[in-house]
This record gives sequence, C-alpha cells and structure tokens, in this order.
Amino acid sequence: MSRPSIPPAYTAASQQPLATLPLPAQLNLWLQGSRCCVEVGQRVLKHQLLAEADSEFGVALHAPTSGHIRAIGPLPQALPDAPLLDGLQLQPDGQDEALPLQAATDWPALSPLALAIRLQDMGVMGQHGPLLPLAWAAAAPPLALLIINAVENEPFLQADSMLLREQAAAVAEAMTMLGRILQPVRLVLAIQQEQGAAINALRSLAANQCWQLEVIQAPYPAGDDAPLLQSLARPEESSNSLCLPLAGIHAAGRAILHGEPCISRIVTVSGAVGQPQNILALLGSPVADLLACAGLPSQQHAIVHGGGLRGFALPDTTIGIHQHSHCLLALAAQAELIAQPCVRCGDCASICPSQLQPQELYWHCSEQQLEQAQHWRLADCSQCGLCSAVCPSQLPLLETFRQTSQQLLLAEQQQSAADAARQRHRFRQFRLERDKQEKAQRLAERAAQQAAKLAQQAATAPSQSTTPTASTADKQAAIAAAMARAAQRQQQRPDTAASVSSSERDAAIAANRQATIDAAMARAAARKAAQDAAKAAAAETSADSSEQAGLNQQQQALIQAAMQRANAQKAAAASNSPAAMDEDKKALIAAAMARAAAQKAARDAGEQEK
Amino acid sequence: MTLVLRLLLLLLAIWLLGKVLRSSAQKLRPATTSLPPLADRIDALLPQTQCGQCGHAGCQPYAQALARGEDSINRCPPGGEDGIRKLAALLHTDYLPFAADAPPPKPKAVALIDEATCIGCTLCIQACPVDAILGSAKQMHTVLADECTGCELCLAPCPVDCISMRPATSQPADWRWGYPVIAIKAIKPGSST
Repeated sequence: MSRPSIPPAYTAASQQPLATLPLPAQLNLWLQGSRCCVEVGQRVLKHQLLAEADSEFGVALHAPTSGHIRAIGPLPQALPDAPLLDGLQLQPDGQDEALPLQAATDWPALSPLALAIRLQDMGVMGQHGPLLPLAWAAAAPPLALLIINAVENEPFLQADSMLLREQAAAVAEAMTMLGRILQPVRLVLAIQQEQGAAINALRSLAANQCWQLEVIQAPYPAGDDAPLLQSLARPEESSNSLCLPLAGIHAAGRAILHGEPCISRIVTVSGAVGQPQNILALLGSPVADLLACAGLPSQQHAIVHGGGLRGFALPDTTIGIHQHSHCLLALAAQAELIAQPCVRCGDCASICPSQLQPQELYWHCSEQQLEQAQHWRLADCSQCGLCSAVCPSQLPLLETFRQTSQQLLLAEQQQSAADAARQRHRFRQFRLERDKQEKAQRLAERAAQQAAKLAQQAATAPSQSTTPTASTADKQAAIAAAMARAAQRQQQRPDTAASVSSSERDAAIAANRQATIDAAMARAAARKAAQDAAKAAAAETSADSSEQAGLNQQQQALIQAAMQRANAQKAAAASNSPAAMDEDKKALIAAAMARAAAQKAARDAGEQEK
Repeated sequence: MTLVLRLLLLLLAIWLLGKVLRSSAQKLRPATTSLPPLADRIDALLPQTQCGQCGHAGCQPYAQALARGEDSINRCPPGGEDGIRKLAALLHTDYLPFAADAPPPKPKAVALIDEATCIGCTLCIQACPVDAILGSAKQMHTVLADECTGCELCLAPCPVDCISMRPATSQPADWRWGYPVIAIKAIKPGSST
C-alpha cells in the first residue's frame, strides 16, 4: 500500500484538450442495484437496455456500444479492495451500431417523480443511486435551493471543469430544464475560484437565466455537499435544499432533452503518466486502457481511483470504470508505508476542517472503542483525508476513520433492526392474546344466542299448549345466562393455562410423566414381591408338611425377606425420581397418583356394577 | 474539663456534618426513576432474534431472568461476544466466555422457503416470532427477508423441510471498508535508525 503525498492542486491536465478513448477490447460494466435483462452471447446495440433498476436505489444500465455479451456474474469492481459484485462483460464488435434515440418533447409536463423515474431508467446516477432520490421525488417537497455542485478542489480532479469548458451550453440547457420541472426558488451553480476557464465559459451564459453562478473561495473540503449546503443555504432554506453533482446534471440533460442514456463520462487521468489529460471514456472501459491512452510508463505504479486525498488503490487494472470514476492516478510506487507511533505534533488537529482531535480519535478507533469514538465526535468527520496527508508518522488515519464510521453505522443499523424486531414480536404477542379473547367472546355470544333460542322455543312451546308463565321464561333466561357464563369461563381457563410460560408447563408435564412412571414401577415391584412370596409359600407347602412349624417360620422369614426386598425396590424407585424435586413437583406427583387411584376406583366400581 | 468540652464539640460537629451530608445526598441523588427498569435496559442490549437459544421463550424473558440474577450473561449466541461485553458492563459483572452448552454463534442468515415444495401448512407462520412469514392455508408461503431475524424457529415445524437458511444477500450496501493493515518490516538488530 502506498500513500500519495500532497500534490499541487492543479496539474497540467487542464491545459490539454479533451481526449476520447479509443474503443476498448472489452467493457466491464457494474450492475449496480439492477437486474440483467439480456443473456450471455446475445448481440446488443448501442443504447440498448442491458439491465433495469430493481430497487429504489438502483439505476438502469445501457450498452455503451454494440457488441456481444460475454459474461454475466461477479466481477471485481472499482471499489476499495475490488470486491466481486454483479457485473456484465461486453465485447464490442467495433461497428458502434446504435438504436435510434427518441427525444421526448413532452418534458416540460413531467412531474418531479416522473422525471426521477425517467432519469433512473436512463441510468443517470447521483451520489447514491438515481440522480434524484425517488423517495424525495415522490414526496415532492417545495424546493427552496438547488445547488449544482461543480466544485472540485481535491488535488488532481479536473473532470467537472473540463465538462463545463467543453459542454457549457449543454449544462446550461440541463439546468434550465431542471429549473422548470423542479421549480426551485433558487438554482445555484457552485464553482471554484481556480476553475477560471470554466467560469469564463459560464459567465456569458449565466445572464438572463433562471440560475446564478456562485464562486466558492474556501479551500478543500468546501466543495463537499454538506459544507456547500452550509455555506450557500440561508437559514430558512437549509431544511429543503438539494445538492446534485455536475456530471449527473449533464447526463440528465442528455437523457431528458435528447433521449440519450448515460453511457460515458469524463475521467481525469493524472499523476506519473506521460501526458496528464481528461479522457471521455465509455462506462466499463478498463482502467488499463485509460492509463495507456494517457501514456503510462512501464515501471511499477500504484493505481489510485479517485482524487489525491480520498482515492484508494486498485489492485487490478482490468476493472471497468463506473459513473463515480472521476479520476485515475498513477503514482510512482513509494517506499512501503511504515507507520510510526504518534508523536503528538498536533498537525492533524490544526488542519482538521471539522475541528476534531484526530490523534485521540485514532487511538479509540484503532482499539475499536465505538462509544469513545462517538464521544470524540467521529460522526462529524467528513473523511476528507487531510489528517492522513499531513501526518508525519504516516498513520492510516483516514482508513481507520472510514472503517470505524462504517462500523458505527452498522451498529446503528443493527440496533434499529433489533428495535423493529422487538416491536414486531411484542405486537405478535399482543395480537395472539387479542385473538384468543375475541374468540372466547365470540363463542360465549354464540352460546348465549343458542340458549336464548332454546329459551324462546321453550317459551313458545308451552304458549301453544298451556298458558305461558313469566316465571318459566325468567328461569330459561337465567339458565341461558349461566350457560354463557360457563362457556366464557371454559374459554378463559385455557388462557390462564397458556399464560404460564412454556418452560413451566414442560416441567409440569415431565414431572407428571415421572410420577406416572414411578407409580408404575412401584406397582410392578409390589406385584413381583407378592408373586415371589406366593411362589415361595407354595414350594414350601408342597415340599414337606411334617416340619410344619419350622417351615412356617422359614416361610415367614421368606415372606419378610420378600417384603423387605419390595420395600427396598420401592425406595429405590422413589430415589430414582430426583431427590431435589421441589414441593410443586411432589404435589403434582401426589395429585397424579391420587387421580390414578380415583380412576382405578371408578373403573372398579363400574366393573362391579356390571 | 476543656478536653471533655472539646471532645463534645468535636462530636457535635461530626454529628452536624453527618446530618448535612445525609440530607444533601438525599436531595441531590440522581433521579433513579427516570431510568427504565433493569429488565428493559437488558432487553435493549439483546439482539431480539427471539430464537430461544438461551433456553428462554424469547429475549424479554431472558432479560427478566438476567435482571433477577437467575441466569448468566453468556447464553446469547446471536449477540456474540460484543453482546456479552455490553451485558457485563451494564450488570457490573465480569466478562464470561460463551457457555460450553450454548450453541456457537453463526453469521446472520435469512430463511428462504422453497416455493415449489411448500404445501401451505402455515406451521412456519405460527412458529415465526416476528411475523416475517407471509401466506395462508394451502397457499404458498414466503419469508419477508428484511424482517427475518434468522432465529431458525421455522425450520423444525416444516413437515416437508422446504425452509433453508441462506446468508444475507451481498449488496453494494453490504460492502465494508477493511481494517487498515500495516505491513510489519523486520529491522535487523544493530542497524542504526
């Protein structure tokens, strides 16, 4: 891993004209929240839909050129550590055969939501997902301030300035279109002091337009969305304002006014390349092609995706660019990063735009102490990377803060998921209880109705035969009420039983079973003892009758032994049941035995009656 | 005489100070009533999978048992070691490793019903503690993946074994920054820095 040193903010890239990347041999596209609607081997034309958005946060993907689909599946993507995410490989056939573009003329009549959906279908991305968030567009709150963010003050970034220089008229058109549909009170194009050529290109266009030009003079990271909103929005506007990236606005203008889906973007290729320049490249073009176009010398370089401060190293140069790839840097491989202990120089604290104490924060973040990190206001960290850049000990401050912020976010998500699950669980318990009560009530009502009907029948029957008396009707009603009460009680009894927790119920069932087993064992032992005794007695009597007295004694001894044995077995059976059985269980056992005895008695009585 | 008087004065002063301290302690005591009951605070730390792996009927009964001091804090596999640490901090006890008889923690998974095999018996719907399964009698059932807590309580009742646990799907949103790793370089002893 190598670290970029802080480079001069503006490099030679802006002096070069916009170059166009020759058609690459292969395009590696990223299916970002979208569902593929083509098959492997199929030939597709330029602008043809390859994948449609399958969620609120996904965008559609269109073919950047004509060719064949080579593969659909996990591909490394231009993200830190190049994770394997769903992707699509397109092999261009060089003919660049395009579908005819259908320019919509009905765009002034579009609602904000219709515009957001059309932009999603055209594959125009903003910071996260579609350019206009669908949830925001569906609510369509009155928009006080719309900021088009063209500020790029991170080192090396040039793509937006180049876009403004080359396509100023198209951008102005797109902004007018957005102004008409979204109806913001104020539409501002934010640009930076150093982007001189772009400012000149726009000044002539800004006259008599619905948008204004705001020149930002504050240093990095004033061009981020949050500080920009803070500096440009008046207090009353801050709650309903929106910040959109310039590249997205340009693509939106192409999509809505000309019907052309978003298939390319401008990438700044800079650093240790032969000729730093801005290149117009198709989405999915491999990083290696872009670097080769700018003339990459042969020796080993670290390839960085993103600006000079927030960029991350790409391990693989076959990865295709995506809509957020605004910059590619080739940095001469430096000596390996050797982090030294923090020397408490305080440089990071003095440069931090959020007035944090990065050295303290680093200590807690590297120990993964989330609560302490929160206490030191990790949430306020804008992850600008300035602290990492100035650290003389080369501590990986930015990387640590990114990772810990994400951990924090993850912990918050988990907590909210747990809260939702708790709520659902509680509601389910409440619902089950309510259903049970409703059912009991229903049954009671039905029983009461039936009883009332019976009472009516009974009342009408005597009226036909004899004189109806008020007293019989009263009695019937009383019976009906009693039956209803009984039914209700019957229904409520399972309630109370069920409210005992399942573990207690299980224990009771187990104890009951144990009691039954114990009783059965005791019974069997007693029966066996009696049999033994009888057998012994029979044997003794049949053997000899002369020595009656002695035998009698022997017999009695045997009987006693058998009884002792039976007692011992009974005791053993009793000790089999857990000695530490508590009073409840004993009571349960006693009850079970009593019940069994009663049942037996009843059965015996029934048999005797027969 | 003066010695006795001084001693008496000293005792009086101590007694007065004690009175003042006690009354101020009563007045200035932080309002304990503002905190929710201990069981609720424990419940807030539990992962709410309602899986019953702790031996209780859900997270709330386990929290109540913990509040009564009837169970140990190391019985919740979905909470992981982090959960044990949080519980230990809340209950002012020591960290305990997982109980030997507790099932090992697993990565988060979501139930998936094989819709071709499902016979629509509604047994899994009745088993789901968070109402994350949708369906009705003799109709195909399906799991609301966003609501599923991965408790696995629906697996056992299924008569046709059509429910399987799948790891939560990987989306761009699931992607994580890695913990920064710094290469360690061996420096030869004797080489001056």
